Amino acid sequence: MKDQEPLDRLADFYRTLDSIPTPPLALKRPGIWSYLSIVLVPLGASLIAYGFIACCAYMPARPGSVPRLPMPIDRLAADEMKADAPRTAPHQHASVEKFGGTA
Amino acid sequence: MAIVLRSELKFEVPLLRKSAFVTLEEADYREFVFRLALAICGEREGAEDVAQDVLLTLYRHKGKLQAADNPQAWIRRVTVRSATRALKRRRPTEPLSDALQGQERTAESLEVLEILRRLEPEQRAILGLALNQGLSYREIGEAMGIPEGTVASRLSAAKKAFQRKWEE
Repeated sequence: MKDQEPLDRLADFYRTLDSIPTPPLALKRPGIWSYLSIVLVPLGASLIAYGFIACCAYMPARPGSVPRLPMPIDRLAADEMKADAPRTAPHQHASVEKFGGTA
Repeated sequence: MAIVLRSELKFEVPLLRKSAFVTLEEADYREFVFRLALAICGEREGAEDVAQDVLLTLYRHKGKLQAADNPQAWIRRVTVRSATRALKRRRPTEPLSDALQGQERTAESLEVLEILRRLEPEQRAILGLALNQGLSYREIGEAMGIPEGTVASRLSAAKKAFQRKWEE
């Protein structure tokens, strides 16, 4: 075997290739679900996430109680500003300082 | 190996079916393409990649295939081009110990493969087409895009290169 000509060995090698079976069918073109999944999967994930957030935000504290909606941020800010504002009107301050008086 | 090649390919896109994506005609082409790729690559794994690539090309250019006078020659040309390109791209190759997965792994076959890997891709292609596929010089010339007269000299050069590397 060692003295076998290189080209004979090459021919033997090529003959062994014939014994290799053809692999299973691999050319799989995408079906309708492959195309639909491109749309459906993100849509489904978004809906689930949105539903979860909505449930957490609007879930009533006790069964049977009225759902408490979260206060809008601008309204919250307005309430805070109102709370921090001086009790006297600004024009009253101005008039007091103008005439050298104290509040 | 008798391969029935048909002049027209029928590509059907199955709806709501998980299997049987490939029609009978494609299966015939697939067998043909895989055998050819295997002859050039010498390794099952590489041949599978090439066959997949070629089948995709056939699918994309089915109009050209249907218009071809000799579809078999057209497919052979596409396969040879794809296989030689793959061989060039895969350099440096994976370790020889990992080669020949799923096929007969003897010391001799590994030795032959090692030498084949050191040859030029075109030399590997011409050796495979001549010694494994048993193609004529005209068919090899058509497949490789070279004149028929050049095939003999290139085949001879490829054989000499193999022998030279064997003796090194």
